[in-house]
Amino acid sequence: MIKFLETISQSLNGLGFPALILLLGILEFSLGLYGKHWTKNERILDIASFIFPPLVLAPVLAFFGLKFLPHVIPQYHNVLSWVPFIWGFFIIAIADDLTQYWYHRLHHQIPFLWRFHRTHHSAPYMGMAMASRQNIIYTFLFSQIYLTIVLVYVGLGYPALFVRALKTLIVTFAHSSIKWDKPFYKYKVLHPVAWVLERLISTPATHHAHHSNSTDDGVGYYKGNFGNMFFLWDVIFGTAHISRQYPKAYGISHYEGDEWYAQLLWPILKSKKEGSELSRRGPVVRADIVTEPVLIPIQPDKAASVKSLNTVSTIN
Amino acid sequence: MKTDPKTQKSILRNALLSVFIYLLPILLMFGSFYITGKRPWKQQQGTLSINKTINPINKKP
Repeated sequence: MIKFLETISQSLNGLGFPALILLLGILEFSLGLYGKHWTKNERILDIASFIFPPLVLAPVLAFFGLKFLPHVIPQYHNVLSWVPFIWGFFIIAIADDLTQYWYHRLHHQIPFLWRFHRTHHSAPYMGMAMASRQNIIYTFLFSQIYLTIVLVYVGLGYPALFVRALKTLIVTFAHSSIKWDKPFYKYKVLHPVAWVLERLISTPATHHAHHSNSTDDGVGYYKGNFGNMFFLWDVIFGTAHISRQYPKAYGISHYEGDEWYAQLLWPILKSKKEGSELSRRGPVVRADIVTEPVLIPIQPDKAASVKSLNTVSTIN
Repeated sequence: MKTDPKTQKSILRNALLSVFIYLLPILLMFGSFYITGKRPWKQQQGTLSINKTINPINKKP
C-alpha cells in the first residue's frame, strides 16, 4: 500500500502536478467556468505565474538545500532519519502547513504585507488559472518551503514526499472552480463526512469564501479562512467561517485590472491605474466598494404604491 | 496604517498556541517511545557504528 502511495506521490511531485493543473484548467475553461473574466491581461499574468516563479525559484531552493545547509549545518545531515514514517509525516505536515497558515494570515492582517499577496486575490474568478498566481516576492519568501527543506536535510525527506503530494492535491482542488464538495452538502447521508471535511481540510466552499470580493455577508469571508491544506488552523485560532454556499463574485471589489507586470513584480514595477494599491502613490490598503441597498424614507402617500409594487414582486 | 490592537492581541495569543502545536507531534512521538520502550535512534547509532567498523576493513591500504 505504502509502495503504491509512494509511486503516486513520486509521479505527482514530478511532472504529475503541472499535468494535473493543465488538465483541470482545460476542463474548467471548456466548461466556461471563467466566464468573461479571463481577459488578456489576466491570461498573461496567470500563465507567467505558472511558468516563471518555479523556474526562478528552483535554483534558489537547490542552492539552499544542496550548498547553503551542508555548509552551515553539516553535522545535522540526516540526523533525524531514525524518526518513524508516521511521526515524520505529522511533524512535516504540521510544520509546513501551520507555517504557511501564518505566512498567509500575516499578509492579510498586517497592512504593509497585503500588497505582496494582493495578486493572488485580484483574480475575479476561481480555478487552475489563478491557483499559482502570486507576486514573485511573495513566492520567493514562502517561509514554509525553506522550513521543509531544512526538515528534509535533517532526514525527513521520505515523509515530506507524501505531505507535498497530499498538500498540493488539497490546495489545488480547493482553488478549483469544480465544486467537488457539493455532493457532501446535498445528500443528508454524507453530512457527517462534510462536517469533518470542512473543519479538517480546505474545501472549495471555505476557500472560495476566502476569495470572495465581499466579506461578512454570510458567504464571503476574506478576513479569515487562511488555511491551505488544513482548515483546522482556522477552527483552532477562530479565523474560520464555514459556509456551504459559494460567493457570487470573486476578487477585489475595487480591482481595475492592474497591469500583469505590476502585479507580478510589485514593488519593482508599479501599476498605472490611478488609486490602485500597486500604483506609485497608491494607498497601502484601499477600502472596499460596498454595494449596499440604499434605504430611502418613504412618505405616507407613497407608501401605498410601494406596497402594491412589493406585492407584484412577491408574485413574480 | 497599523494593525488594530485587537488583531495584534489575537496574533500574539495564537502565535503562542502555535508553538505548542508545532511541538505536539514531537512530544507525542516521544510519549509513544516511552510507552512502547522503542529506541529507534539507538538502532541508527548501531547501524552507523557497524558501518564505521566495516568500512576501514574494506578500505584498501
